[in-house]
Amino acid sequence: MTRINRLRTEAAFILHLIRLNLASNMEYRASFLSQAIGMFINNGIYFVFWLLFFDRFEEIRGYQIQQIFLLFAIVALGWGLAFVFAGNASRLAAMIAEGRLDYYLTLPRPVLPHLIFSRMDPFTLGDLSFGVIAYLFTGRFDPLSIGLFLACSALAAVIFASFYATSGCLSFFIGNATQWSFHIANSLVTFSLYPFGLFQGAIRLFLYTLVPAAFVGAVPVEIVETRSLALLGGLAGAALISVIVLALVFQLGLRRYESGSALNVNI
Amino acid sequence: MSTLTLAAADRGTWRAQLRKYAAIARINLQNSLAYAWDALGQGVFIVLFIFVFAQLWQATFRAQDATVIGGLTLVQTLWYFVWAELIELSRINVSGTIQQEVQDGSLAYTLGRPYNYLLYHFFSGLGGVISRMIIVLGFGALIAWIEVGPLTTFRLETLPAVLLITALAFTLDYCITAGIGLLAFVFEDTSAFRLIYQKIKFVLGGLLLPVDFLPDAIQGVTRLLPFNLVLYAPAKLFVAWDSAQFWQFLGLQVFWITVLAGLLALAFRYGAQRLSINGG
Repeated sequence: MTRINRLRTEAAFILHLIRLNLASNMEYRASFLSQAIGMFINNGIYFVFWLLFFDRFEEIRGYQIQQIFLLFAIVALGWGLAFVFAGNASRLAAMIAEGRLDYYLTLPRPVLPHLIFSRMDPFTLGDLSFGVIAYLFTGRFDPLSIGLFLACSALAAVIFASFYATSGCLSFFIGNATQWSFHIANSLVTFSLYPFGLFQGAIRLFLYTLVPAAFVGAVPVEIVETRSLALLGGLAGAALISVIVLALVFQLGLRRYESGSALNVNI
Repeated sequence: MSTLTLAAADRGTWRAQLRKYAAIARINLQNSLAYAWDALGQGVFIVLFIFVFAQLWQATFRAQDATVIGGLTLVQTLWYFVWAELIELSRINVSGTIQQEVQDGSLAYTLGRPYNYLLYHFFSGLGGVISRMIIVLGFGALIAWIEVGPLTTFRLETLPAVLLITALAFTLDYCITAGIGLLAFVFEDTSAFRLIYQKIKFVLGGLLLPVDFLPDAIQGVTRLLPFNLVLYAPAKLFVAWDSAQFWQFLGLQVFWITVLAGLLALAFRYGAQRLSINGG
């Protein structure tokens, strides 16, 4: 099988997984919808903080409420896309610690994509819809801006999923890293939702490298505002690097993986 | 007279009840110490939050060219967030456990045991609160000190009163979160309610913005609701003691705890009746 055919087969398999995840979630429609609506309200209330903040202080380090709308739109849509499709990326630490990789290891499919695309997080539909609605408040309705917004959100989604899964791989190395992986991964969202101008000096380097919050928040906002295709190329490069880092760390970690004796049932 | 006969003699008295729940809290404290590694994670979390807030509020005070905003200086504002985060990160997080016990039916097994289900979870959670508070306060105070220096307005003699308001804040928060957990009797999944409550505390509770910073119209409503009594009240007294405000907070906390604890007991009774219908 040629490389192109192989990629096509794997892409078709992932699409099939996504369809199955959606069908499985729709079996529990009430719960699925209540979680999605709950997350939408949750984001909305969080956004109220910034509305109140800018109502009182108007501008902070070059950011006004319009930039915050755009920032929230990109981060929420990026986050939503990431975990609608790759729902297991945020649960990797627990799955490794509980020995639940055995199921995936026995099947003739690449382990990492099979594993992370095997679940849909119903909460994230709320993020997804919140991102789209927040964008409507930015007033940027020309095709180029919309195209850049969607492209940036998709690339942010790749970085979100890769970073969450990479931090989950900590369980390969230090045992049950569920809590630590949660805190590390959460730091990405926390930093990304604040005006980037607040962070100066060494912390900026940190936010471009170890915790790449700049690439899921500030950089996409700058791309949509300045319409810089060169910067978009840079963001695509950062997304690619995040996937490569995940693949390498996962391969390295998988060699240390020890199966447990617990019986796990995958439904 | 042996210890055993002594215990048997006062069985059922309030003293025996107190001993029982104190033992539950002690066991959970020992348990939480066994997972100190996880509690350290909470410490890292508060460092992250206080660091971000320090950048935000330093920039805001500078941009406004102000030394006092909403009655608080920059130092007071940052230490306010330390105390508010301390409560948020150390609180008794019981709603998920109750939801799980309702969903898998294990709550039915607890009904026959010689304790009150809601009191059991309260005291059991209280054990973990103490260890988390120590770690979170240690990390939070360290980062706040580095960013803005010590809280010079703090008066040691007010500490017992601040701790009383903080303890009542934990109790009030428990009443709300346990109520959310019991919603599992009606809704399949309560995580959406949990998230919404958390975010309400972010804004109306004063976790992201002290209530004094809110517009006047919103402040008026916020001060009547229970959410600001969970975070804002203890954090405000910690950084800017005011005797009149202390009595006001205390009165409102006692009122809301009485109302919500009553509702909680009713909700549990309703749920337990439904459980006996479904049980078998």
